[in-house]
Formats: sequence, C-alpha cells, structure tokens
Amino acid sequence: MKKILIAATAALCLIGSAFAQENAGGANASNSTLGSIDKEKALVGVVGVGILAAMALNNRGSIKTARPVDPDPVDPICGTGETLIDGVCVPDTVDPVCGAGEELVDGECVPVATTTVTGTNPATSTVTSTSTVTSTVTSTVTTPITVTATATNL
Amino acid sequence: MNWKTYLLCIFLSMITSGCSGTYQAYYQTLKIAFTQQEDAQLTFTQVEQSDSDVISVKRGERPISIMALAYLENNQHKWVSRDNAMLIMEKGRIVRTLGLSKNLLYVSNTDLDPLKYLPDSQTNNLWTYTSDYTDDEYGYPAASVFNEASHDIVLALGLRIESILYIETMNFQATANYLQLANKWQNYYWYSKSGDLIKSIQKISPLSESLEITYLSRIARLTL
Repeated sequence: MKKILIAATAALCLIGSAFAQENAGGANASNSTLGSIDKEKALVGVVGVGILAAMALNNRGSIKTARPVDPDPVDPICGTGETLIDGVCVPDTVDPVCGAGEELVDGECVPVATTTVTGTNPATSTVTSTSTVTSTVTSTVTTPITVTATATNL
Repeated sequence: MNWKTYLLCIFLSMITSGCSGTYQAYYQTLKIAFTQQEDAQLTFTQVEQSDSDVISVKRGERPISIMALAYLENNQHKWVSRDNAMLIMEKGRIVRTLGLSKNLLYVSNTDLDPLKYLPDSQTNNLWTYTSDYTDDEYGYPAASVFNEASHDIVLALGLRIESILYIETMNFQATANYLQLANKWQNYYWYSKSGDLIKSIQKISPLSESLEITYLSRIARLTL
C-alpha cells in the first residue's frame, strides 16, 4: 500500500513537472497571437476568371438608363364650346345655316340644282326635276322639240 | 505622322486608360490576390518574454501564424489564434478544433493513444479510434501505427536542435459514398533529447489541410 502511494505521488510530481513550466494565458492569451489560422486562401485562378469576366461584361457597355416615370394622366378641363375626346379638347361642331337654294350636305351648304323643262304638246310636257348636281341646265322645248342644253362645269 | 508620334500616342493612351477607375479596380484586386501574405515570426527574445506559451502553426499553404496557450485543463493544451480558432491537444495530438471551416469534434479511445507514451516507450501496436467532424460526419474509424524512431534536426528560433523523429502512418478506414483516393497519410512528431515534443506535422483527416506546429516556448526553454 505504501509503495502504491509513493508511486502515485511520484507520478503526480512527474505529471506536474511536465506542465509546470508552461504558461497558460487564459483569456488574455490572444494578446500573444499573430496572424490567422483560418483565413481563406486567395484562389488565384478564381480571381483571375472573375476579373476577366468583369472586364468582358464591362466592355460590352450595355448601359441601361432609367426611364422617367410618366405621371398619371389628368384629363384637361375643356372650355365652353369644346368637347373632350380621347383626352383632347375638340371644338364643338355646329351645322351651318344654309340659305335659300342651298342644302346641307356633310355639314356643308351646297346649292340646290334645278332643271326646268317647258314646252307645248301635242307632245308637250313639262318636266321638272330636282337633283343635287351642281349645275344649272335651262332647256326650251318647241315643236318639233328642239332641245338646247348648256352645261357648265363647276 | 512619324513613328515617334505613334509611340507618343500609344504611351499617352496607356497612361490615360491605366489611370481610369475601372482599370485601377482591376489592378487593386489583382494586387490583393497575388500579394503573398507574410509569415508571422517571433524572435527568440520575444518568445522568452511572452506571457503565454506560444507555438507557430502553418496550416496548409497559409502563412505561418502564432498561437498562444490559453488553458491547460484535464491534461489538454488549448491553443488560441488571433482569429479565435482553437486547437485542443492531448500530448501533442489534436483531439478537437474550434473556429475552423471544418472542425474535428471528437476522437475516441485516446487513453490508448501511443503518442501519450512517447518518447519513453514506443509501441508498434495498432491504435484504432473513431472521429467525428462537423457537417454531420460521425464515427469514422481509423487506425495508426508508429514507425521506428530516427534522428533528425529541427531548425527553429535560429537554433539547430537534435531531435528524434517518429512517423505515424494513419489509415482512414471509413467507407465513403464517393470515390476517395487518399485514405492514408503520415503524421510526424519530433522530440527533443530531453523528451519534449518540439514539432509536429499532422492532419486530422485524409482530406484536411496539414498543420505544422512548432513549439516555440518549449524550444526556448531547452536552452535554459
């Protein structure tokens, strides 16, 4: 028993002496450190490929400019005699007042063309026709009927 | 235009385009990418005057960093780095890591780790253990065998230290769901004549980066 105790004591002394000279700094140990053990290595190949890719992309020069944002459309306020059509004020259309001998065609006054044919009969007839041709024809019919027509191109 | 005028035009265009913001950005990025990070180094005097024990650690191809001993608990050495990573070691073997991109969580059967008995008694017995890692990787079985010791020289802090080198051959026995070419690797441990572990190179898994650790404070104390 005594031998065991002596041996154990000697062993403890040896173990103690093994660490006796060593200095553990505890929380302040990092003050004695330098450099880093886990810093990532610079991968030269990866960096080179990355630089080349960046240069290629930069040299393509595709510049995207920001488009200005259009403000929300606001309908204009139309004045008197105007109508809003597709966001634009358009003047009201007023049909003209046609005078005697005129008629309104597509918003315009056009003279009314009158053709009067007079004559005697046995074969005498009077033909009155009204058409919208823009010419005036005057015919005099006698027996035998002689028609003289004058046409005027407008 | 004669050739001198052409040359002048080319020169001027190079100067003006080279100063543009875009090309400056390219230049700065490439400069950062290709600039070699410098190793952190301490002189013998700085190591002696350090409040905490320090080790230099080279992880993979990264520059050397200096880690300090923060805690000695349960026979575990806990070393911290400037970027708050931690290596937890038992008699020189990394049994847990914190703060790395991929961490070792657990190593089983450490009581029978032959490293705990070096350099006093070398056993050629097979040591088997399982290990857990982050990303839900658990229970990977592995085995290790130590080779015969050989004499070697360790250069550190301007000193040339005679040492004994032990090489440990590791065999990762986990069956992978994917093609895994590297199942074996070797760890290296250098002991001083007085029996202190002064340097090691070890990996925690076949695909992890190697950790080259030099125990600067222990080396400084060898001269006392």
